[in-house]
Amino acid sequence: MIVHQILSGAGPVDAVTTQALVYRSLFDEWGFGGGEYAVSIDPRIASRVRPLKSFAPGADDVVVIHYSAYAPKLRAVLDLHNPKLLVYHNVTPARWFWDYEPTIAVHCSLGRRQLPEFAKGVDLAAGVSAFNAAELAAAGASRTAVIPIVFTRPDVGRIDRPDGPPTIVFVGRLTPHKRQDEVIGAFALYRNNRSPDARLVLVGEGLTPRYAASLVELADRLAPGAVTFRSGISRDELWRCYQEASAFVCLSEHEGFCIPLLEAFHFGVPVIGRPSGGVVEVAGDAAIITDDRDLAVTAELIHLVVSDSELRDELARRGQARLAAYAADEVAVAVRQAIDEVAGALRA
Amino acid sequence: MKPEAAVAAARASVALRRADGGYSEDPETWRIEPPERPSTDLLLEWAIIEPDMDLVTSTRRLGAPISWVKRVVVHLIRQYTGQLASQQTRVNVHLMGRLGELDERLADLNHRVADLEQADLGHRVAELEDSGRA
Repeated sequence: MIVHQILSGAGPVDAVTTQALVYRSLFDEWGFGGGEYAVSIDPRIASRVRPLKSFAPGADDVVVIHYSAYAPKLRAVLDLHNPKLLVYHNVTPARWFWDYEPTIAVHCSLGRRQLPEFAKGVDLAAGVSAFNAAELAAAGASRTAVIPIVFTRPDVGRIDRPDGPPTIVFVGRLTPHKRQDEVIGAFALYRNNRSPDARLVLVGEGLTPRYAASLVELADRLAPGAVTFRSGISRDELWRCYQEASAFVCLSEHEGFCIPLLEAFHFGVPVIGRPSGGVVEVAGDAAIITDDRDLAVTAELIHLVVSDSELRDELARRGQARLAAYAADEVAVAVRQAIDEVAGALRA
Repeated sequence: MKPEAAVAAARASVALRRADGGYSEDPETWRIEPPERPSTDLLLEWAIIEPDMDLVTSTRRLGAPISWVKRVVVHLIRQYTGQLASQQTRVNVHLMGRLGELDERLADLNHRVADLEQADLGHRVAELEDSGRA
C-alpha cells in the first residue's frame, strides 16, 4: 500500500510534523510506501518533506491530511479521488487572539470555518482526542475516529529532586488562551501565603513580543524575581525543567490535546489542570483537575502536591500508567485501523 | 491524601485561611489589559487606501537617485498597484459598512433591553405597592 501524508507546514520541532514522521516510521514497519508533502517547509527538514506542488499520487494511494491551521492550498487535495483520512490536531478559537494578534485571529477563524469542508470531504475524519473528534462530528464528518498522539518517552527520566524551594512549571506558547497570567496569579498567591521562596518557570515562545512583555510585567509586579521565562530551549533543557519541577500547573482555557501533560507524567511531576478541551481525557485520573476559578484554590492545590508525599506519589504512579495509552504500540493499532478503513472504502 | 479528595481539601483550607486573614489579595486586579483597539473613526480613515508617493524614499547613501528609480518603478506598475488598492479598499469599505450596521443594531437592541427592564421594574413596583395596600 502507498500512503502519503499532507501537512500545511513542516518544521523540525513542530508537533504535527513530529506525528507525521512517527506515522511514517509505522508505515515503514508495515511496508507501506509514500512520502510527506507540505505547503511550507522549514529548510532543516527539507530532506524528509517534499513540496506539495510536487505531489502526484497514484489512483489508489491513501492520502492522510494533517489539519492544524488555515490552509487554502490543501483544498486541492480534497478534489482528488483517492481514499482520504483527515487527522485533526485542532485550531484554537479566534476569540483568544483578536485583541492581541488580529492576523492570527483571522487565520484561526478561517481555519475553523474551513474545517467542515475537510471533515465532509474525506472518507474518515480522526481527531487526536475525543474532544477533537467531537468537533469533527459537529463540523459534519459522517465517520469519525480517535487516533491519539504518539508520545515518545524522553531518554531521561525522573531524578531525585534536591531539597530546595518548590519550582512550579508550565510549558506552552505564551498566548492568551493558555492563561499564563492566571498561572502567575496562582503562583503569587502560593508564594504569598505558603512558600515565599517558591519559583515559577514558564517555558514557551511569546505570541507577540508585546504579549510576552505584558506577562513579564505582571510577573515582576506579583512575584518580583521569582518567575523565569524561557524560550528557544533545547529538548535537554526542557527535560531539565521537568526534572526540577515540583508541580506542573496548566490553566489553559483551550487545548486540543496538550502534550506537556504527558511530558509531566513521564517525569513524575504532579499535574494541576483545568477541564478545558482535551485536557480531561488526556489527563484521565492522573491529574488534579478543577474548574474552580478561585486562584487561591489552585495555590492550595500546589501546596498540597508539594507537601503531601502520598498524594504526589499516587499522582506519579497514575501518570506512568496513563502514558501507556499513548505508547507507539497502542496508537499504532488505531492508525492501522483508520488506514485499513479508508483503503477499504475505496475497494467497497 | 487521594487525588480525588484534593480539591475539596484545598477549598476547605482556603476558607480557613481566609477566615484568618490569609488569601486576602484580589486577583481581579491582576489581569493583563489588552492593547487599546483602534477607534471606528480611525478604522474608517484606514479603510480608504491612498498611496502617498512621498513615502517612496531611500535613506541610503546616494538616496536621491534610488528614490527616483523607485518612484519610476512605482509609476510603471501603477495600473497593478491601483487594482490592488481598489480591491482592498472595496473590501475595507464593505466591512466598515457592516460594522456600522452592527453598531447601530447593537445600540438599538441595548435601548430596547433598557426600556423592557424599565417597564418590568415599573410593573414590579406597582405589584409591590398593590400587595402592600392589600
